[in-house]
Amino acid sequence: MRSKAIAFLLATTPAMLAGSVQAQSFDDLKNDYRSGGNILTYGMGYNNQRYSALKSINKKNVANLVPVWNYSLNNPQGQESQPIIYDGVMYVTTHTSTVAIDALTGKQLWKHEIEYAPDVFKMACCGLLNRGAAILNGKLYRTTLDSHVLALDAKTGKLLWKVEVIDYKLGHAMTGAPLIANGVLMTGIAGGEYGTRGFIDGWDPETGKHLWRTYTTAAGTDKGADTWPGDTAQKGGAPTWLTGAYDPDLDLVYWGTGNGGPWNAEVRKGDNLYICSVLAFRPKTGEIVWYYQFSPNDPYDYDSTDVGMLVDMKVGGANRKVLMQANRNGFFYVLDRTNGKLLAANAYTKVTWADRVDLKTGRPVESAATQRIRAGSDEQIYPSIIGGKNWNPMSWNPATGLAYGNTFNMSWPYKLAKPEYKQGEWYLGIDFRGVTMPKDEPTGYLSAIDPMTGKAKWQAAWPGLPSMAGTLSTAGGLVFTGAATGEFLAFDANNGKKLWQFQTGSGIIGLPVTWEKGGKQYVSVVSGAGGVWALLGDARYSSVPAGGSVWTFALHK
Amino acid sequence: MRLAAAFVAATLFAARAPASDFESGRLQFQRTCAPCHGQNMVNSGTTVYDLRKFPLDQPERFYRSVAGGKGNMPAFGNALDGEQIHVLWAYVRARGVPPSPLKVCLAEGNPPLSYKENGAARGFDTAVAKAIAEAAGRPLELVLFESKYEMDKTLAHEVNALLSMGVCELASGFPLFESDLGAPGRATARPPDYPGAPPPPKRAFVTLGRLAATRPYYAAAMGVITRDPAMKVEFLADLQGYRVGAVTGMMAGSALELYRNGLLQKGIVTLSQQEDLLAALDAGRFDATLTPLARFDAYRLRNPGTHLVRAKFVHPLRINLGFVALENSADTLAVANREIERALASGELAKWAEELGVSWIAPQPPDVQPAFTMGSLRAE
Repeated sequence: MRSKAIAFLLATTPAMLAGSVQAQSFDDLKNDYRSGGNILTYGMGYNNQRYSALKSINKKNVANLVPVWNYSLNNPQGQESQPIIYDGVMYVTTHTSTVAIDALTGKQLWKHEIEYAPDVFKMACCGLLNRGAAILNGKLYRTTLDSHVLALDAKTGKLLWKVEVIDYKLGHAMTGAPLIANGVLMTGIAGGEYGTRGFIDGWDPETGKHLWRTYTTAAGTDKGADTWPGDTAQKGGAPTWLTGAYDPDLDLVYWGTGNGGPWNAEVRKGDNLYICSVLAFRPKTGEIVWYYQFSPNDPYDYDSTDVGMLVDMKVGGANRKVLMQANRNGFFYVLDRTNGKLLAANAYTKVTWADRVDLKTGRPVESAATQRIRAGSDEQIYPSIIGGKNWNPMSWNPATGLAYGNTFNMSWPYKLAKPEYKQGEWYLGIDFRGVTMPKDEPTGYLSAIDPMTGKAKWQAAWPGLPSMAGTLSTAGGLVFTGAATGEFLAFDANNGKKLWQFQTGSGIIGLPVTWEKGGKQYVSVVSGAGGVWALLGDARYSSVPAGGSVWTFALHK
Repeated sequence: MRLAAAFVAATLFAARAPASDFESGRLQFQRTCAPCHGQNMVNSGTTVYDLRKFPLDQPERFYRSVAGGKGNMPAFGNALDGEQIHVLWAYVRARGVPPSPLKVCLAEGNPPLSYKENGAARGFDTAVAKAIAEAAGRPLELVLFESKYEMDKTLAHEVNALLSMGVCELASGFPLFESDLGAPGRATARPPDYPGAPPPPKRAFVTLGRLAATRPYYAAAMGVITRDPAMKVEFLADLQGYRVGAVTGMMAGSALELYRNGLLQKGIVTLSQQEDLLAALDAGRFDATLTPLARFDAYRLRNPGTHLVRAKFVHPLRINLGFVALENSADTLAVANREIERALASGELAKWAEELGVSWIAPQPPDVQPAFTMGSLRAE
């Protein structure tokens, strides 16, 4: 309501709108998923569904979508930032900057820049980037590659506080958007390839005071420390480089953890809690209430950092609060999010590392190929390091009951090697030779997946390069996503028919959002090729120009 | 002498192998470089420098950039030692593709330049080939072939056939005459015996390509050999009054016979081409002879106990030897030229020769000679 009231002012005096920022509260965050107008959280709502009830752009008219403005980020790296939008101001991050843009005109309101010591880039495993900001009560929060958390004045971009999370020289970096829940600002950490130990931190959003740290590998006197031999948990990985989801009714934060370190699982025999898991914990204290481990002992860098979506749906006729995740290991999991009980786990892409997931024990049954690899054999394994799906989040459409995500179809050659730890270098313990593209098959799809069976209702194959962009679902019956080659596209959520596309000038690996201002619906996305795909040895990517920018679209009158 | 030569050869080959440098470099690249420059060094080249485009002739720039950092790239001078950067360069200069072996053809019966011993290639040419392969960052594979026409002009056709059918990329010990380079004297030829060759009746004729030579690395020359180390021979004229062995129809024999219109004629002991000239000298049938120095070196390799010695006189006639390749092997020719020039200037060619018991004489200009004439035999 408030946003409509100032819509008139926006057109003439954009600088004034920032005054309304002050009112934005915890309740606004909680209701983000149903508000439509603003985008206040990573995930377009605590439930991470990336679903919007807006439908003035729909299947019938999406062909009339046209660009309204384009904003150059002046940054040639990969762009994975999800825009935050509050009261007509859009906030976008890159690894070196945070910008506030007039959401209707594309005019820059302010820009805050970050300088790094050059050795910071040594610790960024998979691209120099940032995935977005968090917002609360006039403050904007973000993480930096040199492992700091910053609070900026949302009105002016002025730095309010800055805290060091950990010494980046140990092999850490931060790329994820923070999460704010129940009064606490939370951040994760990267570094799973560098022999580090993962954790999640809680901060006071007002002052930056450190409230708690929950390590994601169990060590010392921690429960579960016996799942690690010797002191391997200290370099055991389990990074937390994406953003969690939150259920306000249960007061549980769900956060995904990454791969075990080193990748060579034979040197850390045991389940290795809590690598490749989802942790359900209290935001006030960081206390773990329950966990579910997707890939015990993780032999293949199958991060579970994209925590998935919180959905309330019928399972076997009963209403269940579930957490669903298309795991990098190739299985689509549905968990009861009140207690972590496994409800379904089915392959949604080609899987050869495990035969199935045992519903009783909740554990994968490793295949003969994995047994041979553990014994030293050199084999091709599905899915590859990129996974059946990677960091790029899915979206949910309650009308179709389908999860929409960009999935991959490729294997990788895997052979163990001796791990050697050296601070600041990759600590893998395998002979890493990249990925293997399938012959005569697509390398990736936009997939519409039934969560309980893992089967795709439809798949749209990417021609050539697969997509590592996120998806957006809308009540208009649409799925938006981007192509590695730069096209921003809309698909029919029911059948995967391509309805519209626009070339954005660089590759898209970002997260589309939709929002409303003055009764008009807009769709925004960052464009900018790069990220982990650029590092995997695909020479075809060289024909995609670099260059980050933000695009906003609306219906042509 | 023979033992010493074998020892030196073993030492030369124990030197670092380019293939293992590549592999060490690949592993180091994974740990420190792949996160930005891409798996297997393949990246899009849009946000991070595409190392596959790095100029191969600028290793110093590579060392400088890695150690000191460049643009967004951090300095690795503290993290990596010189050896680690060296193997990274081996990987980068190979464009991330395991280097294919540099195959070099050598005549198996051409001692001391190339010969077969216990089934393996030996000789001065193997040392030069080894250095070229190392300079190219490629493992070396030596291919011995059996030429029936030693120093004969059909050697050009045989070598051309081997190169044209891809048995090897370089061939050693090639006399550098204008007429044997460029367009072949005939359209097709049969390759000589080489490992894996079908028997001659089934050996097809090969369409010949255009030959190009490297800089010369050795000059074939004739010297006087005597039984008595006290015998001073500074000029051929010093042989007057001695019995001098000469093989009819061979260049050295003709040079003796033609010398100053028959000055040495009286003392000449004539041998047939079937006879072993130096064995006859060793047996005392005459006091001295003029022979290609390579022949003398080969004789010493076969007869380590011989008392034959080389006198001071060396006939001014020189035939430069080089490596040859097909004209389109420009990269390989370039690296071979660079390495030969380097080893010549640094004195390494002379050193390797000494270690291997080879009477080495520096090549003389011009690199490639016009056709050989009888007149040059009369030169003093």
